[in-house]
Amino acid sequence: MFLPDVSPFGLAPEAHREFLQAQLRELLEHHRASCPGYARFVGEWSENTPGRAATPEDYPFLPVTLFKEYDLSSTHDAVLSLRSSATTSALPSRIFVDRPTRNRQSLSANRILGDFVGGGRRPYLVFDVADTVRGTASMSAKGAAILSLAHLASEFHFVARQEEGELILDEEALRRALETIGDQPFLAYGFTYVLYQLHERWSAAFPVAAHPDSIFLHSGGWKRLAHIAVDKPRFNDTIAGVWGLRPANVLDFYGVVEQVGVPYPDCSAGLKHVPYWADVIIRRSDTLEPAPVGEPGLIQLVSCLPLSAPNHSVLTEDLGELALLDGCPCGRRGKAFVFRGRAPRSELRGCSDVPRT
Amino acid sequence: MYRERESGSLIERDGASSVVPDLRYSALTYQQRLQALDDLASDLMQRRDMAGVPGLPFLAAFLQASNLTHLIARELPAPAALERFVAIDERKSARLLPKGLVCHWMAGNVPLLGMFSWAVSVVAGNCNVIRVSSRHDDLVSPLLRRLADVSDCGRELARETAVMQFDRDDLATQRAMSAMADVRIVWGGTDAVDAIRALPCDWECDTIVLGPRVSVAVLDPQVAHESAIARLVTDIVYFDQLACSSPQWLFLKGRPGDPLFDVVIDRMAGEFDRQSRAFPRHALGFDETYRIHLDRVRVVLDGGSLRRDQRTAWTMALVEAPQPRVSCANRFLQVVPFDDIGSVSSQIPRNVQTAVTLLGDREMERFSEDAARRGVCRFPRPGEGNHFESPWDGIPLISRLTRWVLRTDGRSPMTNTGAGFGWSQPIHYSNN
Repeated sequence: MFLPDVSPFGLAPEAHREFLQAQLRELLEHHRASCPGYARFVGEWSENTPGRAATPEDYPFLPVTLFKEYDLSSTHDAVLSLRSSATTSALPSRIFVDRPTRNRQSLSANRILGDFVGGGRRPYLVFDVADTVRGTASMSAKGAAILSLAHLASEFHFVARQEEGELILDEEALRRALETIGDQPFLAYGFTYVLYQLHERWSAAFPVAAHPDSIFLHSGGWKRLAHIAVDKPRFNDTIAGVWGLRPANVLDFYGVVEQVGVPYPDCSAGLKHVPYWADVIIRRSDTLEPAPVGEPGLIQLVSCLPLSAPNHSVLTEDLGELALLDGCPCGRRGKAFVFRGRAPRSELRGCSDVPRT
Repeated sequence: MYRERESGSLIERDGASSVVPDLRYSALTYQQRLQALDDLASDLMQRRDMAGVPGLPFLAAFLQASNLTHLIARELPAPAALERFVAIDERKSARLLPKGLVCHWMAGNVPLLGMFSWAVSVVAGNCNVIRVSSRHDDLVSPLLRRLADVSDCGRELARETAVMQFDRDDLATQRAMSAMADVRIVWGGTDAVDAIRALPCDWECDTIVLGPRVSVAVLDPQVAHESAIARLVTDIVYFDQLACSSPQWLFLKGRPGDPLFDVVIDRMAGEFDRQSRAFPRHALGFDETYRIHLDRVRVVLDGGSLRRDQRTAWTMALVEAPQPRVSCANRFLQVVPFDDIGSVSSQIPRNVQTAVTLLGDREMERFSEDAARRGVCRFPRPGEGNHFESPWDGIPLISRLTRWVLRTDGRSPMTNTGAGFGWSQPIHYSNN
């Protein structure tokens, strides 16, 4: 699927669309043939949406919530089931992953993140506990995010520990890790809120320093940070300040468990770029029609990676906005977007109710 | 701090004690009140500038004197008791007086619904305070301004109604409003109802809850002519199913594949298409739009089928049994086939209000008896689902908004000029 000698963000928009069109057609047929639920969905879609899918925007998309409610699988050989963090619905998503899909996910994440942090393996500091990535049959979204950087890692160092249900810095583990790392540049990852919490409480009695090419990556929601009035500049300053790094070395990436393998880090212009094997379509409220540049809407994520479940095109409950279709000053080609957070809940209905049986 | 509007003019006041209006009973006679509301109805029917206000045509029709007298007569065999003592048996006369100050809490996003209970309260001679949400447009004040302009009596009625706009979290004002009420009328969802019921009030204060409910429709294609189908779709499309009277499920006699069944489905689809264009929906939030897509896919994955537009304007989901997790809002209808009317009643939800019904006579008799026992309060015909009427939610509103006074007469009641209540007769409620 990956094109030889083409960087993830190297295709011009027209070539990108052509590539996607062919891939999506194949994926639709593959999942229709392998997943009965998806076949029913596509059957209905075709009936009520006359005309062939002429552009990537025309292909059917599943709401992410379905993956919490139905076991949609296109494989009998799943090696892993990815679990999202249970949010408002209290039910986690379940995404089945087989070996070929897992390989594609790893390769994809490696290429995308490599484009941002550079090639070559480095020591990897994880601000979490090792248990998060353990388990053979299933894994959390956090675990999947940690492992999405695994191919860039020469060695793992987990530098947090659990204490009374809370993640705290394991100073002893970090001290040992830094001794091993020496003055090499390293990669670090933490869940956004956890990373902030650990660095905000950093003890002055435990000074640390990092090679100037070291990179901190983080992902996860901003809701709890927004409640304590922490925005991106303050976040970056806090993390970078502890390590003596430039704030630009702290990268936020957006990703969902339904599309593991396609992280969306911020570029130097503060935008998120779409690799050629994926797409981001912003859908309008009220009609779900594609929104133009600059109009906020629901984020639809498309990825050509999934072979083991029909999660290749999903409508999220997140809001975003297309920033440009091409020509980002950072040099990456194609679409770029901004993540705006979770879609707000509408006010409750009037005097109507939901049926109680 | 809250804002109080009287007769449409904004008055800023602070301090809870100043909330209490001087007025508790209308200065107008019953006939004058009826006439003023009738004048307002005529005015609203002619106004083009307010045509887009959801529910306004229903309200205008409701305010007509002919409708209100009909509604009152349904509940009170002798409406004259609203003006004077009327003999009710050989030694007793009765007089119906207003309860006093009636405070209305409107439903946030269906603000005009509360105007129906206001009108009933006005007819009964009460003075009124209406709380409208500070998060939505105040559609009530413009109506009161129209009322004040139509006649002198209209001006007096408008003066007897105060509109208050304050935030639902403004507990001090909520408490003040509740404390002064002789009757509290609460429209809205569970959260709103629970919050207002929890406010302290006078021990004598009556609380009428027109709370969250759902409605259904039941149709036999054998008796459903084309216009009835169009009117049923209007019941669903209007108010975007945000009203308690909006059908969410349709029980349709027959099976997919039966010619008559399929004809009804086809006609409904055509009507949904036409009426969705004619009556624009409110601008959906992102989560509402997402929910429509999600529910459509849920139906398909659970074995149902869809008739829908290509966007998200309307949906008919054909399912074997109602799907509880599928949200029927914003023009999303679940259609459930049935063979035996006896199987429908058992599927009616506990919190039901209305069953818009069109069946043959024998099935109607059987279904209405069974369904009424399940909780259905109204069985209007298609097109009348959203027509407000009393009793509503099973509550005889006029009775709850009046104070009943009895007088023992020393003379024969036959000499009284009143026609007599015929109180020994049971009161019949009917939709005719």
